[in-house]
Amino acid sequence: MTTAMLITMVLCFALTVSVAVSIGLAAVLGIQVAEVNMLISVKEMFNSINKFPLAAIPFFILAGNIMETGGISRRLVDFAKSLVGGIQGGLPMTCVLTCMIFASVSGSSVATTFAIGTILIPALLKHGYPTTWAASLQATSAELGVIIPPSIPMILYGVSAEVSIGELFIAGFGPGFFISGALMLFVWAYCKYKGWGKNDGDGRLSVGKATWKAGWALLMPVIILGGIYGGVFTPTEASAVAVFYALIVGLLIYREIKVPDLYIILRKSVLSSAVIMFIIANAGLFAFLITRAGVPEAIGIWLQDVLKSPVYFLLGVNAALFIIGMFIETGAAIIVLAPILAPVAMHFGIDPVHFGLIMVVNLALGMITPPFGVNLFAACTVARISLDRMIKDLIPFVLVVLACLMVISYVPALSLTLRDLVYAR
Amino acid sequence: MRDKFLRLEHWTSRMALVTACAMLLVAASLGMFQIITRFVLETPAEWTEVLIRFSLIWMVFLGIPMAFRQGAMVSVDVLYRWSPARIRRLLDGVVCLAALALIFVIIWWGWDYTQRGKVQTMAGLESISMFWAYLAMPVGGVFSVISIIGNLLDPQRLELETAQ
Repeated sequence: MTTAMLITMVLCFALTVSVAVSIGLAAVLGIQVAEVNMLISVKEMFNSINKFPLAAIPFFILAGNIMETGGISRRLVDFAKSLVGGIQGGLPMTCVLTCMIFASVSGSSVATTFAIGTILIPALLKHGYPTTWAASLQATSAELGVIIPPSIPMILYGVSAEVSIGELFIAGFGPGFFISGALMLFVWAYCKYKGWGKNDGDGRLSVGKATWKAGWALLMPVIILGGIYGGVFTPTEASAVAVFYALIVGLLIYREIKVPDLYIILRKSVLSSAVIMFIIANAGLFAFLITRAGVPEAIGIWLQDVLKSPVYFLLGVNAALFIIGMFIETGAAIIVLAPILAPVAMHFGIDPVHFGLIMVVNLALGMITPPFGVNLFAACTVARISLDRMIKDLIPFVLVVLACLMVISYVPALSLTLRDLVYAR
Repeated sequence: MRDKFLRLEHWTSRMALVTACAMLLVAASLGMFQIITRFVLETPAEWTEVLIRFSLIWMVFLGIPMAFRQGAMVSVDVLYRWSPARIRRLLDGVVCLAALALIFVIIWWGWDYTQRGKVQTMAGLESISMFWAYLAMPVGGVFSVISIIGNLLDPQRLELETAQ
């Protein structure tokens, strides 16, 4: 049954059938082969999305879209530029920093690419940076969108591996700051070496003025995260608060959202959420079937036999997820793989929260690796170039994130110190 | 015939989407209401959580018709991008058939499951039967069929609009 399911799924993927339908059809075929009652298909599909924590996904998507339309991206760019824009290579560093801050408002990296890229890619071009390099930089920095909380992949990992979403969110800060730091250092050194961006500081605001202007936007992560960790509300409720906060700022304070825009925002959010939740429904059914067939235990026992130490296990996971991430959508990969891999990780003494971070960062790398890298597509759209031209400039960026992934995998303290501080009782 | 169908499809996909938007709005408002009841009125309402979950499920199944219509379902499209126009047309057909097959299962067994739901009540909101929650699946499925055929007749590919 499992073989039939896997073959169907891969075949469907290859024939460009959408991810959700491929996984769903594979599961339906699996039920047919195993001669189980087909009623299970709809029952499990329904159950997979009938979970309260998942409500945070559409809410965060909606809040992110409202923020985007509400004119916060421009203010955040000015703010980041006022902080790091003054030196040589300051503009690409601004890009990394803006993505980092935007990530704490939005849970999606494609949204980050569009929101920040439409402002910064033209600016980078104007300052003489090559188009392909600017697009690679934007695609890579936007990855921070899913690593810094709130993060949709983390919600999915939390739900499927039964780990606290609050703990995952806070554990995302260490790795998020670490990757941002590494990227900023890299672009700074690269610009020095290439002699790019000597006049990057032109036309930037003073720190005080930029902070004042971006204040309402900067307050949003404080309210959301403060609310979650202050025990005021759950991550799901925080996402609902985010929607209304974004709405008030966009409609009443910045006054950049007009009432007719609201339908466009709602419509866009519904489509994004429906697509991802439909993937979740089908992947949930798929995961249910392979769990029922005992596949996770079998893989787990096999992994424990072959990879005898945690070091080898993590290395194996890193390599496997890197390749899987190239082809498969992050959300689907997490729902199917988290229930299989998390128990094995715990057997090897790896903290499930730390392991969640490894999975998210590792699969996020798949967003910037061809052939299926959503951030690349988005960056190409914004920069109006074709994907194949980007690859040469992309390689150094991928290597930087890969190096960070290694550190994140083998230094648990990076993820867990902050969590232990907050959750120590 | 084709134009007539597309006009009908345009209307049904839109109707489903507008309802889905309303569902998202309801869910988000209920989320806010839940927090208010807890802090201001200090009597947390138990039914908001149930209603949020079910309105979002309705949102999903009424949102996918338009996603199918616009070709916005995320897919691995390497083969598609490398293929000549004739092969692309063939792939469009395969994609359409695959989607119809899955949707058929959702409609057929979804309706069966919905009828069984008549005897169940919603946990936390006992006055309403689960029939109304499960109904999202067959109803969304029927809308999806029209939209999937609509996309075959008049293809669009807007994947990036929805990718995360």
